[in-house]
This record gives sequence, structure tokens and C-alpha cells, in this order.
Amino acid sequence: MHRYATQFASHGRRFQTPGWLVRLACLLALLCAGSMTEVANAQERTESSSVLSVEDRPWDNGDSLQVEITLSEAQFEALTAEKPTETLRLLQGGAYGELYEQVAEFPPNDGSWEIDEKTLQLTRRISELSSDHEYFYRVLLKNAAGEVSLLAETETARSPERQWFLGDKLILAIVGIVICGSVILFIEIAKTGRELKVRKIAGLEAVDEAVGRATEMGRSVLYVPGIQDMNDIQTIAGLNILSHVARVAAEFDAKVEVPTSRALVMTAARETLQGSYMTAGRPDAYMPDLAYYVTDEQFGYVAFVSGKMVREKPAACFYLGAFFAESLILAETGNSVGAIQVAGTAQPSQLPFFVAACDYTLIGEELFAASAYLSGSPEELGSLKGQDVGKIIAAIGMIGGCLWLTFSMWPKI
Amino acid sequence: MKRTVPLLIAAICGTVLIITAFIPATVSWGETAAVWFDVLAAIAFVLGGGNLLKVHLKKVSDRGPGWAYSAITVLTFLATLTVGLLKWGVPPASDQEFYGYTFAHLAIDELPEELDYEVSVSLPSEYSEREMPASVRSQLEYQFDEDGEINELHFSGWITPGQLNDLSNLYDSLEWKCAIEQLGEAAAVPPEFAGKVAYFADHASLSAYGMLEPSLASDLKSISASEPWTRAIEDLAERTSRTETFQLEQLPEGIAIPDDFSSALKIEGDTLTVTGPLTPDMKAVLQDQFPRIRPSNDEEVESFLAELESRDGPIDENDRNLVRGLLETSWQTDQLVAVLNDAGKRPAVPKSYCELLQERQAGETMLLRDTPATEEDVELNAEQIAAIQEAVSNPEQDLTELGAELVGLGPWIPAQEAALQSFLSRVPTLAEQKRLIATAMTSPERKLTPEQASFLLGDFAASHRWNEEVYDVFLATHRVKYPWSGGYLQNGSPFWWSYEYAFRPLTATMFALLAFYVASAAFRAFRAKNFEAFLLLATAFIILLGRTPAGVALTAGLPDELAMLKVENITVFIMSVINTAGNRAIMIGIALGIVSTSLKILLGVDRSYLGTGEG
Repeated sequence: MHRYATQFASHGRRFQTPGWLVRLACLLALLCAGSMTEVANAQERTESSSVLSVEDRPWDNGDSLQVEITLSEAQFEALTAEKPTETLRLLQGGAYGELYEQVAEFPPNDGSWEIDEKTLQLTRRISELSSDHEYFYRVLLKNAAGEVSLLAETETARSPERQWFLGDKLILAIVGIVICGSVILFIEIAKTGRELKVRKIAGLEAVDEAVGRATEMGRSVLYVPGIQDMNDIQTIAGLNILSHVARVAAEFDAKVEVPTSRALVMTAARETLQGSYMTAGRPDAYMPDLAYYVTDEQFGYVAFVSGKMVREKPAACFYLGAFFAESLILAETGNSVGAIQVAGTAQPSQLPFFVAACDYTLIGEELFAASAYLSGSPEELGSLKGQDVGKIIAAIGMIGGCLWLTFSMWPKI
Repeated sequence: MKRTVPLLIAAICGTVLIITAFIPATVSWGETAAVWFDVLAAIAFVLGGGNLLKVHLKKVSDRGPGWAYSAITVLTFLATLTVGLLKWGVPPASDQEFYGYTFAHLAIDELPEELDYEVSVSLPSEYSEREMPASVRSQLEYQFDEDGEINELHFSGWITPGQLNDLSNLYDSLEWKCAIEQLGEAAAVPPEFAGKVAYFADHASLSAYGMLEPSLASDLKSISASEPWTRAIEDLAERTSRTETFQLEQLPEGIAIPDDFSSALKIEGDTLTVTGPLTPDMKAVLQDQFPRIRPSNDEEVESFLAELESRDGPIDENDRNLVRGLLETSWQTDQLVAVLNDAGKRPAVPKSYCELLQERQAGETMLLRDTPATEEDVELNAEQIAAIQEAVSNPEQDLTELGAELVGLGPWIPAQEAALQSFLSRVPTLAEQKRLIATAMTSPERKLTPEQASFLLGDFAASHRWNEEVYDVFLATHRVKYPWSGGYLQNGSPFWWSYEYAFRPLTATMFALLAFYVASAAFRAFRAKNFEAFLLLATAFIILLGRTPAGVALTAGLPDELAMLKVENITVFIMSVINTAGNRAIMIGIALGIVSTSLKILLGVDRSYLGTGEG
């Protein structure tokens, strides 16, 4: 760290030639103690006059600088009074002593200025800068008589620098690592053969019943994997469940039809169907045309699927994926033709419609748990336990937050 | 292998997208992955179209159940594809076309030496480090001396304002901006050709705006005797001298062509002869043939009302007041005087970058971009104001000529003349004013009689038809550069027509079904079969009541102390507390489910979407 700091001082910039070891050390320092980093930052400030300090904004994308203006008591009062008598202007230029343009003014404060009454400092972030440009700053003060004077300026160029990690997302990264780590941990525990208990999901228990009913009635099974593309996780979850439904259908010799709203989903669904038919030992029964493309248009797709349901009266309908306004139209049409219906989506606004019109509904996370539940493989069931750790964290966070907020407001109440 | 490769691709892409969310240096990786997805989706879209055709053609061929629907699907698919891909009936995009310009091919290496401009400069070599703007890359070269400093800027062809701006913004320093300013002066289009001829390096073309007059062509030729240059000018002269005639149906009375356009536009009887393309300026002048409104005095207002009353139909006091109000608030002489006085205020004069550089080199550190105006502001004197008032009240006087009169009565500067012309061009025409009156007088209860409509709307209809005619001429004489540049959904095109009048109503019809399905689903859901269903029914009942005026009226009599028991307040409580809490619980579960599913896919634990991983 000492060599690092010395290097900054000699070049008048931060993070001139940081090595990977130094960066790692910096991150660890940030993770362990924010205050330590603050101390380090303070050491790294090489250019700071008494009134104007321009620093690179730490842990960002390299598009902003932090400007800190320290004022005298009189200036601070004149600027922050209810009726300010002076105005402060912040100017930015591309070359020292040449043309400067105003980038900010105080007052008024639209929320972008931070005011520290103790240190008499005004701080502001200057954004949308380029890391390959150099910037110089000037602070002008305009008094009540309209006279403008130079309060401070930077004589050394400043350029924003891109750090290797976005500090704003640190909490997200930590939470993500904990949840992902717990999922992986429980998968590994499950692999050791330890039994994991998973509650029954009625909708998934009904899959065999629905496909069996279709076989008995000599009708087809209609499977709708939502109306979103393959980049939507709900569509992938829908296709995961399709693989099980198609395997059962292949075993029972029932016909599964998969009309899709996206061409990529059609190709993926064909792969899924083919794999399932092969797993069931019925590769001869597989036909690529079981999954076909209809249209990308939401209501065009609904018109086709509804028409098909009315004409062909499938015995079982599965709606598993991302759904929007079409959810109720599809489910009610299926209901009117007497099909047994299983639905599932992660669109909370569509769940009530499915609950009202379908026999079984997978609510939110159940859609994602379905694949693990149906496969019964220990690795996948382990992932469900990992999710529970996330729920515990969320619950602790909520309870802790409520308590903290309540007690912090207690004296005021 | 067939399963491993997709798994690997999914794992790599997924990991990259996660990394890009936290590490700024890798943002471009995520963008690349997204582009790849779009490419794949585009290819799959073609596959989807092929599949759609195959499935439905097979059904038609087999005469399967519902084959007629399939036949309609195939026919409409092919029809939509044809008009959409070919952009049938779609005019070129106005922001892509160079209206009024004619192009002749002239590559950069064919430019004559006389159009090579060199500016001596003294710039450190650092100024060559950044990549040149794309707009000048093919025309600008740096020359270096033995010390590696830039000592000359070499530019081929005439520089455009856009190129100058791009170059100037490349570096912030004054020495760079001054050098570019000098280059801009050296490589500017000569004054005699400015606005009439331009060189577009991106299009490798010399271009003329409007008709290239013989004298101008001759002057251009005199610049250089090189063969490509002469050929390009002859080409331009030939193309812009083509004459087209148009029979006009709605020629306005007393139509006048300004002297500036007399060589390109000629009107004989009801025939308009246009030489070369009709430029936007010419179009504007041709369309501006209808008198504009002036401030009305009481006599004129009463005369207008009397004329309106003489038409068949009643005029009540409300109508009179309405018409009076609209006629009297058109514009006032004071407004024009204020605008002209405002234009007379001398603006600050911006300094050139080279002047600023000189100041900087002289030791000045507080440089100011503008020099305060040294000349005194110009304000209209009493005589000029009186002349304006007289001119405005005299319907015979052409207000566009007012400047010539005012200049003899007191100080009058070009900025005021420009402000006068701008003010007059923004004043509505009489036809527009009468249309406004017609609109204001019309309501669901009040219809205009045919005679009233003819009086109030006749002029506007005539001006509209004339504008349309001129626009047709404008398009007919335009040399289309990018015929396919228009948007396929442009108003009036066959694709737009099918979208607007077939697709949208059908979509709305399907969506409208939802209203009935909500009712039938609610009927089933709210049957109180058990305690939970009863709770659901009771909650729904309260929400329904709270959102209707009857429900609000039901508990309106409760005192303020019991306001929390009012139906609308209970509704708000249920929606914002109970409903939100339930929703958030579901959302947290969904978020965790997404994390877990994504992780399983990235690690290859769950492969069922690829048809494997089971059994």
C-alpha cells in the first residue's frame, strides 16, 4: 500500500498503475472496513486546495468526478441562507486557463448538491464525463452587486477512471453470493445422499392425472409455454416442465401439442420433446410438428390457441410460462371446453386469473421449483433448500428493518 | 456433444451477463452476447415463418379440419410479407432524402487540386492521437515536420458545417480549435457558390441545390479543367436543367413568383413549369399565397359578423361574442413593435477561437467567449411606430415591404428586418382564422348551415388543395436518393392500411373478450364454498363497493372519528397493506426461484429444457 500511495503522489493522480494484487487488497479492505478505505482515500488525495478538491468517484464506471468545495463561514451562510445573497458557479474546461463552461450552480439546490454544515462543504458529482478526456474546474462567486470573482480552480488535469468493480452493487453481490453459495451447498449435501423433504405441490401431482385423462378420452394435451422468448426464465421453466409432461405423454401414448409464440421457443420445445420421447423409449412417436410457431403477436396467438381449443377440445391444457392479458382468455376457453387445466406463471398480476379459471395453479416460485420436484433428483431438490436460505435472509432483513425503523422513530413518536 | 455445446454456450453467456452487471470493463461483453441473441432470434424468425407456411400449407393440402382458416392465414401472411418487405407505396423518409439537391458522382480522389486546401499550423503531435471523426476521415490529413509536430492540415474538397463542428469538438484546447477555425475559413465553399453547391464526401458526390444556372456552371468549371470535375458539373447542369410542366387546378388569384426563383419557376395560365428540382424554399414560397390576418377594428368585426349573418342560419349572442373575441385577439400592432424593439437589442458578439488564443497567449486567464455589444441598441422612434400603425390598418399595404419604408424614417438594422419577416410568416392566414371560428362555433348541439360552412371553410379548403398540389409537384420533381428509406408503417401505405384497419380492430376484438371472461371467472371464484372462498368474496365485495359511488355514499355519514371504517378507506387499506404484502411475498419467492433456476442452468444441473436430465 505504501508503494501504491507514493506512486499516486508522484504522478498527481489516483490509480495510475494498479496491479491485480493491489486491487484485490483494495476490495478486501472495502469489504472488511469501509472506514479503512476512507482513510486510504484521504491519503490518496494529492491535489486538494483549501477550497476546491476534485476527486475521481471511487468504484464507478469511470464517468464521473466528485467536486468538493470548502467555503468560509460567511460564504457558506450567504449561499445557504433562506434568501441567498451570493451565487456559486462551477465551471468545467478541457484545457487549463482556456474556455470554461458552467456545469453547475448553487443555489438553487435541486438535490444534486450535498451540504455539510459542520465542515462548510458543498459536494457535487459531475457525471457523463469521458475517461479519455481531461477536465479542469473553476469556482466563481457572484456577490449581491453582481460582481464575479474567482474563488478557486484546479491547475492539474483530472480524468475519471474506471474501477474494476461497481461499488454501488456491492450489497447485491454479497447477497447474490450468499444465496448462490447456499444453493450450491445444499446441492452438494443432497449429492451425499441425505434425504430432503419437499412439500407436495398439488398442481404437479396432477400432471399424470391430466395426461392419463387425455389418453383415456383419445384427445390431445395442449401445452402453452407462455408468450415470451427464450431469454425469459419463465419460458425456460415452462420448457423444463414440458420435458416431464411430454415424457408422461409419450409413455401413455398421448399427443402433446406445443403452439409457440416465438420461433426460438419452437426450436427449443422440439429439442425438449425429442429428448423426452427418447427418454420414454418412444423415439418413433416423436414428430417435430408437435411444436410449431404461430405468431409473435399476443392476441393473434390467443386467437389461434383459443380457436384450436374450441375446435379440437383438448382433454388437458397446461399454461406454464410468462403470461399477460391473454391468461384469462386462454384459461376460460379451456374451462369452457371442459379441459383439466394446470397453470403457472411468475407474473403476480396474472395469478388471480389462473386461480379463478384453472384446476391447479403453480404460484410464483412453484413454477421454478416444478422441474426439481418432477425430476426428484437430489441435486435439483437441494437447490430448493438453498432457496429457503434466501427466504430466511429476506425474513431476517424485513424483521430487522421493521424493528430498526420502529426503534429509531421511537423517541419522536 | 449435441447437448454439451448448448449447455456450454448457456453457461458462458449466463456467466458473462452476471459478470457484466458488476464489472464495468466487461459491459461490452454483455452487449455482444445480447447482439448474438438478436442474431439468433432473427434467424429463428425466418425459421418460424417457414414453419408457419409448412404447417398451414400441409393443412390446406390435406383438407384437414379448419383448412379454410389456414388458407386465409397463408394468404394474409404472404400479402403482408410482400407489402412490408417491398415497402409498397411507402414514400422515402423525409429525414433521409436531400430535397432540392441533385447529385453527380465525384470521388474524393477525383477532386481537382484546386479544391485541396492546406493550412499551416503548429500543433504538438498529441493532437494526432485521437481517432479522427468519421465525417472527415477520408478528406483530412495531418502533415508532420521532422520533430513530429503537426505543421499542416490538408483537406480535400469543401468543408461542411457539420464536419467543422465534428473536428472542432475533437480536442478542447484553443490552439486546436483555432487551427480548425482557420481550416474552416480556407476550405469553405466560395461565397459565390455558398448555398447553391456542396460537396458530400460520404456520398462521393458534388451536388447542386435547385437549378444550376449556366453562369454558375461556367464559374464552377473555371475552377479547374480536370476531366472528372468538368464531367460532374456538366452532369449536374444537365440534370438540373430538365423541365417539367404541371397542370394546376386550384391556382390562387394573383400568384406571384419572386425574382430569385424566376429562372426555375414559370406560370403561364394554369400551367406551372419547373426547371430542376423544386427546393423546399420554392415550395414554401409557392404555398404562401394566401393573405394573412391583420388586427381588426370594430368596423371590420361588425362587417364580418354581418356577412356571417347574411348566410343562411341563426347567429346568437354567444356566437357574436365568440367571433368578436377571436377576431380581436388575433395580433396587435404593439406586439409587432415589441418584437422589432427586441430585435434591435444588440447581442454580444462571440469571439473567434483564434482571438481567444491570442488573448490567452497574452496572459489572460479569465477568457470570456463573448464580447459585449459596442453599438447602441436600436429602438423604433415615434415616426416608425406611426408608420407601422398606419400600414397595419391599411389592408392594401403589403406588410412584407414595410421595412423599406421604416428604413427611411429612422435607424433600422438587418436583425429587425429578419424579425419583421419572421413575425409575419408566423401570423395565421385569413383562411386559418375563419376555420378556427368555424371550429369554435361547432359543437354536438350546434351545427353550421351549409352556407355558413362554405363561407367559413371555403378558403381553407382552397388553400389546403393548393398546398397539396404544390406538394405533389415537390415530390414529382424530387430526385429520389433512397427509395426504400421510408418506414414500412408510414401513414397511407398498404401495410399501414392493413395494420390500422384489419389487424388493430381484430386485436381489440380479442382483447375485448376479456371483459366477459372476467365476469364468468369472477362468478366461479366468488362462490362461497368454504371459509377461504368466503373471505375472498367478502374482500372482493368491499373492494367493489369502495370503487363505486354507491359504496362511498353508503358510509358517507360516519363521523370523522370513524373515518377508518369508511368503505373507500377500508379499500385503500386492503389494497395498500394486505394486497401489497401478499404480492411482495410472491415476488420474493419468484426472485429466489429465478436465482436458483438460473444457477441450475449455468451449472448444468437442470438440463430438462434440452430434453435431457430425466429418467
